[in-house]
Amino acid sequence: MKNKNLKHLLVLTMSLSMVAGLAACGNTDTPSANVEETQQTVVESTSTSTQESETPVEPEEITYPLDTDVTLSVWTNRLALNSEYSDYTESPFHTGLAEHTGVDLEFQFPAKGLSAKEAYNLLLTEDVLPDIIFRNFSNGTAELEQLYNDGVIYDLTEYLPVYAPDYWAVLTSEEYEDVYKCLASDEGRIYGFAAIYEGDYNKTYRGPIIRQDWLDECGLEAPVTIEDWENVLTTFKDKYGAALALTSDRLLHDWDGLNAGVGAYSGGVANWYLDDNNEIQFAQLQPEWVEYMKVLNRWYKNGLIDPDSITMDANALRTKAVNNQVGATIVPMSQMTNIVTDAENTGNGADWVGVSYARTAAGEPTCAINTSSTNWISKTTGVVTTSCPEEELITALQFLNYGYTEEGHMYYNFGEEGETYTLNAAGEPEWTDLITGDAQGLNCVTKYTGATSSPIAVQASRFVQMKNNEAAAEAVYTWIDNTEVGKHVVPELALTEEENLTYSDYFAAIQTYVQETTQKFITGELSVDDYIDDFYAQLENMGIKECQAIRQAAYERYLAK
Amino acid sequence: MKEKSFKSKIKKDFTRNKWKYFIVIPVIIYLLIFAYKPMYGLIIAFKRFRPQLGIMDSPWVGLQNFKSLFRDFYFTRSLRNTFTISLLSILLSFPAPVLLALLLNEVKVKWFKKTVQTITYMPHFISMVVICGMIISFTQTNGIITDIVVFFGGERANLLAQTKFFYPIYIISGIWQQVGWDSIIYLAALSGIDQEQYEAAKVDGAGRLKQMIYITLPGLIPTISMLLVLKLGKVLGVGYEKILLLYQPITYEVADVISTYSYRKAFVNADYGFSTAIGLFNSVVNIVFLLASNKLSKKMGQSGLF
Repeated sequence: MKNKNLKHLLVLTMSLSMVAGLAACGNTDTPSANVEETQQTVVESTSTSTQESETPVEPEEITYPLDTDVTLSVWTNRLALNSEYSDYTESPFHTGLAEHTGVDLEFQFPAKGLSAKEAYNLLLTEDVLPDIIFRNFSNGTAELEQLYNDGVIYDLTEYLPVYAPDYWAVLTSEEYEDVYKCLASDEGRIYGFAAIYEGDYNKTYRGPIIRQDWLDECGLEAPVTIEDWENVLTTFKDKYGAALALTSDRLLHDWDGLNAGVGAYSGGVANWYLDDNNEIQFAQLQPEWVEYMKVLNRWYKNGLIDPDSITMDANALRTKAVNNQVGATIVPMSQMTNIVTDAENTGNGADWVGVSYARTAAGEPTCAINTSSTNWISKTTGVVTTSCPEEELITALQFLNYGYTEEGHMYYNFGEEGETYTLNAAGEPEWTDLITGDAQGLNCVTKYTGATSSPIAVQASRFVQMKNNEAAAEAVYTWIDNTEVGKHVVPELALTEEENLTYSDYFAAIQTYVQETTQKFITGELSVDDYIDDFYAQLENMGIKECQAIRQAAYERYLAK
Repeated sequence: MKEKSFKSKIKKDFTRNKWKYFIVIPVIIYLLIFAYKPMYGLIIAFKRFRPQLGIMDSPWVGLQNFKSLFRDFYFTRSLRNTFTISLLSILLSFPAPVLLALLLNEVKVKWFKKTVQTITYMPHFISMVVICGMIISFTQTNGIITDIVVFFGGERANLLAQTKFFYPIYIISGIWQQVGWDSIIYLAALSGIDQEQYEAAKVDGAGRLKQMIYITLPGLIPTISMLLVLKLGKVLGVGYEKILLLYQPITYEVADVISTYSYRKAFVNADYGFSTAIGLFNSVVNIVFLLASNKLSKKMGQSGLF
């Protein structure tokens, strides 16, 4: 109902604005107050655009800061405040964003003590919502569609090309086709502004790292195949008493074990992948996965894997690394930054470098890197709620569009030119002393920039490099080198509500079963050879085939988009 | 006529006890707001709840959530583990504070008694997350508890990564956490025992052990039976925090209880209806146990709760 009204309003104001444009001055004699306000905004924003615009779907050219006195409230679990500030009015990034866009912003963050998800669920029960919600919608478009059907958010499909032309250009570019496909509903509706990774560099933030100094001392090359890894780890164990140590969640993780060394598509997390015929397959049902379990079990038995990996958290891993008990591990960039800093501070002589994901043979592409399946950052999306009055919708869209303009891109990622960054000879941003000299180290970037978890913009690869230390920034290149993982990762699929109910009923049990069986295979509590047939039978029993069929159907719908 | 007399009875009662009623008002308000009003939320168990629609407008699904629950692959396992952990803690953790109180009661050196009490209280005030962090470090391959196990001839390994060690770790650490705190109520009950009884027993030639068995323990029985009935009423209410912090997929087989399984399920699917259905099921089982044990307690000659 509301949306229909708005559509009429849009058409009306568009035609009015053409008239206004031809008359070269604003006509204020319209009967409806609503139309008048909207029209004024439109007139203001069209004043710089070509006066001869023919059709109402021509994009509006927007100049920032916007000339408006609208105040927008923004609820977000992203764009977090730096720990130094207790309120957004103290934060240079947040106040600067209001200045640059010309919109008064009122930020709301999840209350302390609540998880972001709980806070969001509480928020939804309120009668009046903030104008804009920017968060990670973990069920993706299905969740957005639900919100739209419940009348909580606007459908933005028609407005985006007009009022958010810069975002629209990014979304419809060939480069980010995957984002568009994931974001669009089955009917082709777009509900929000996606936070976007610039490219593979950002998508891959985790991988294997190894002690280069020990490799050199032992005269070994960086390991490539599973045999290399076994050889290196055995040498490390004999010579230094160090092992391959992983945190408990990593031990099980899907794409970033060393599984690619035997051509398996997962470790211990129930995982779907696309085979060479573009069909959805379950990683744990493949013979390669069985092979991988045998390898891990052998390593575990021979003491090549630290047995504490099953319970270890990130801090425990750091301690072990400082104490020279770790020869290799698989970590995210930020943790690598920590480990390298620890090594520098204690002077234990460790030289950590990134190494490639395992391969079946040198020169072969690897089928596993820890990567996001799309450029859509954790399904983080900015949506406009129906609590935002219709006459403020355009301002909201223009505000959200800011991050996708050239100027906004730089602001979200690097802050103010001259203040937080300068451009070097190659035209690339470099931090100024304000950042590099900060007592918080590189963690201070959240004071001035908004790209750390996800911006309402494209997250620049350069930002990710600059936010981590050099060793970690370098490591990513070895991780993304010669990979064909893109071919195998299943994109975010939108399940229908019915499908989702059946699927989650089955799949929750399957996930649990796969995790516990994997750990038992690794530690040898269950013998792979004896138990594998039971494992298959049990999966079948739990409905793995039904799940596969649901996924395949959803994938075919995705392809058809 | 009868009606009228009933009314007048109430009226009389009110005027006579008005201050008592006045004092009880806050408690009644508390119960109405925090115990009765939330019961309204139980209808979520029969709905496909969506927060943005609210409780009333979410669609009804009948018994579907319960069907999912009973059909669930891990339901029986979680139920079994919940009962096991609950019964183990009733068998082993429940008597510990009684024993501590009895022993403390025999200690006549005041400073020693106080020191022991303070030391045993302390773990109660440490946050669960910290406690579990400590347990995880102590049971690593080179942890201090592992060292002790190795000293007694055990194998050096990560203890929490083995199913056979999960219950001992859970129960023993639980006793360590709560024994001091829980003994307070028994110590209070002990101070209420008539001292003349002890003197009489001494005259009759009873030693300290006999005094403990024939005077102290019977004096504690009403408190013990009341707390036991209460405890049995929470048989399915095994807290999820500690298990969640200590278990790993490899120990799910023994450690995964109803609350942790539903937590994982809710976490993945945000399935509120399912979680509420579990909550309702828990409450029903708990109340059955509560009533049964209350009855039993009365049968055994104790007063029971009600």
